Amino acid sequence: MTAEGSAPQLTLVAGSKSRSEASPSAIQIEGFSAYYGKNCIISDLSLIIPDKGVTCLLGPSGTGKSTLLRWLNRINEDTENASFAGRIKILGRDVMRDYPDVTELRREIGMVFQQPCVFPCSIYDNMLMGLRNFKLSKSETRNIIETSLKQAALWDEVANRLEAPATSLSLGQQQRLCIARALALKPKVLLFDEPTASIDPISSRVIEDLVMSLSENISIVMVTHNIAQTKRIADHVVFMCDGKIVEQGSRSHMFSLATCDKTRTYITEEFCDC
Amino acid sequence: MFKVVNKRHFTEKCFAFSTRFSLLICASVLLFLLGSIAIQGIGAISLEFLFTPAREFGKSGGIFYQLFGSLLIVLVAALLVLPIAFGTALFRNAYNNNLAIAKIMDQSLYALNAIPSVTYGIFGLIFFVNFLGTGISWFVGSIILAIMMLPTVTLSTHQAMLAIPKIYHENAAALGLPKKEIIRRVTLPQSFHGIVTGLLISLARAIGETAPIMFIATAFSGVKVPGSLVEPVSTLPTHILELAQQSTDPQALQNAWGASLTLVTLAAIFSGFALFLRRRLTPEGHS
Ligand SMILES: Nc1ncnc2c1ncn2[C@@H]1O[C@H](COP(=O)(O)OP(=O)(O)OP(=O)(O)O)[C@@H](O)[C@H]1O
Ligand SMILES: [Mg+2]
Repeated sequence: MTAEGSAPQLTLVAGSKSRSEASPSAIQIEGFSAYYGKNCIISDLSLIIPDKGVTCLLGPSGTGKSTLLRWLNRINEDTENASFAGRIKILGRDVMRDYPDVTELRREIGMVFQQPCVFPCSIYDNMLMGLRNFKLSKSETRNIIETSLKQAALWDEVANRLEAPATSLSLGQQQRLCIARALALKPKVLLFDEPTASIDPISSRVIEDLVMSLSENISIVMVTHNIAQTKRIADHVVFMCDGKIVEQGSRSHMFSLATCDKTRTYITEEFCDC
Repeated sequence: MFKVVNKRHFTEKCFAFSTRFSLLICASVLLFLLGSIAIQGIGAISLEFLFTPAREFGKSGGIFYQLFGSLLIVLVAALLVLPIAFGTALFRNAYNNNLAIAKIMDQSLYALNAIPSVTYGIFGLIFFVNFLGTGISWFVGSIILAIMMLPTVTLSTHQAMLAIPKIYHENAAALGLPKKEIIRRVTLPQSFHGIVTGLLISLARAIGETAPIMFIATAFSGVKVPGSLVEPVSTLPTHILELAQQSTDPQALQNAWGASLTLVTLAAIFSGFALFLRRRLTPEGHS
């Protein structure tokens, strides 16, 4: 927390010690319900997402996976008619009560969307976008940008064209730029909403590798429709259907010992009638 | 069966023909107007005509002060309308969540657009010239023109803001940008083309307006560069009106055509520039 008016400080190590000792879980959701207008999408959901590692959120279309994800960093606040009830704690802090300034929450909880979305300016300015809120010297800024681009496995491809328009990158590169942009803020948690859904298989694999390497230091929650991808990268799998959690557990549990029929049919990519 | 198809074919042809015929009428009226102004006016146009002051009530000399007055009055109007239109559009898009207020705003803007221009002139005369006692003033003219331009510029900015894909706002918000930064980094650059084109299109219209500024901002003769905000200027439309009244004199008539051509050219430059910028500035992803 920072004093009123002063620029927030950027710590260089992603929240490894601070509050995570008190809570071994990254995210605790209790009695969570989400609405669009009067339409209840998710009702009374409780879930604990472990610290570090990749947690994959699976489930049929329209189940409310994106809705859940979009409440974790309160991006849904800006959506018309959207509301929620219940409690979400991220690294021990309540997202509503303990973050009176939502921008602070969003800097700690990064988000990458399905469609790569770069701003129509240079690659460098895209990286700078979130960093402008911090009082950083020129060289600090450059360092952070370089480190983040390296973390996102994009540095080698853009090092000599940082001033080029970001829209000139390929879609897969654009998505990695989006990830790098989020990493520059040293998030403690990263939310991905189908990050590889609009990207070719090879770029997807690059992003998967990236997600796995990031998960050593950052808790990652990822919505995906790709079962094979889940098999490759998930440490923890949550299967949702109709706004409820059907089953959850470690990857090995979910892919070999799933107890619920629904889960088994969905995971073996058969038709799921829920 | 065959007959029915044939009949439909015939009506379709008639319809296609009638649409082409309407286009032809429109285009020929426009071409006739522009052509006659160009043919009759080109003889009067010269650098000297553009840059020397009028003499003998415009019968001889040029149109320098009229050109200056017209440009002054509309460019200052543009400067006045810019922040207000942008602010209104921004409020409508980024801050207002109340559907009723949004509806009222839209309706008032459309209504404002439909008011006959002479009404604005009367309003300016009653409120500024008489009630506030400014007297005939070019600046009041600029204010009135700015009010007239407001709906066009606001609506065009509003449309451009509306066309920005929501995902840009969400991506900026997800990076922790506060609202005012999102406006500065996303909304403003991506709706800039809407502001500029709306401004240029309404400038093209405003520069030809006579009625709203006739009683409040212009004088027919003896006007030079104003030394204060509350002095009159002379403008091209009022000058043309004055010259047309002396149309029995061939010299005056020639100058009237020349002034008209200048005015039409200015309007065309503004519109053309608007089209050009619309192409250049429209960001990728929305047309
Ligand atoms: N802005 C909105 N307004 C109203 N209803 C919405 C809105 N966004 C989503 N919904 C509804 O909420 C439900 C859940 O949507 P959500 O996007 O969370 O599903 P999802 O599980 O992410 O699906 P998908 O896998 O297809 O992305 C859907 O029925 C959808 O129609
Ligand atoms: Mg979704």
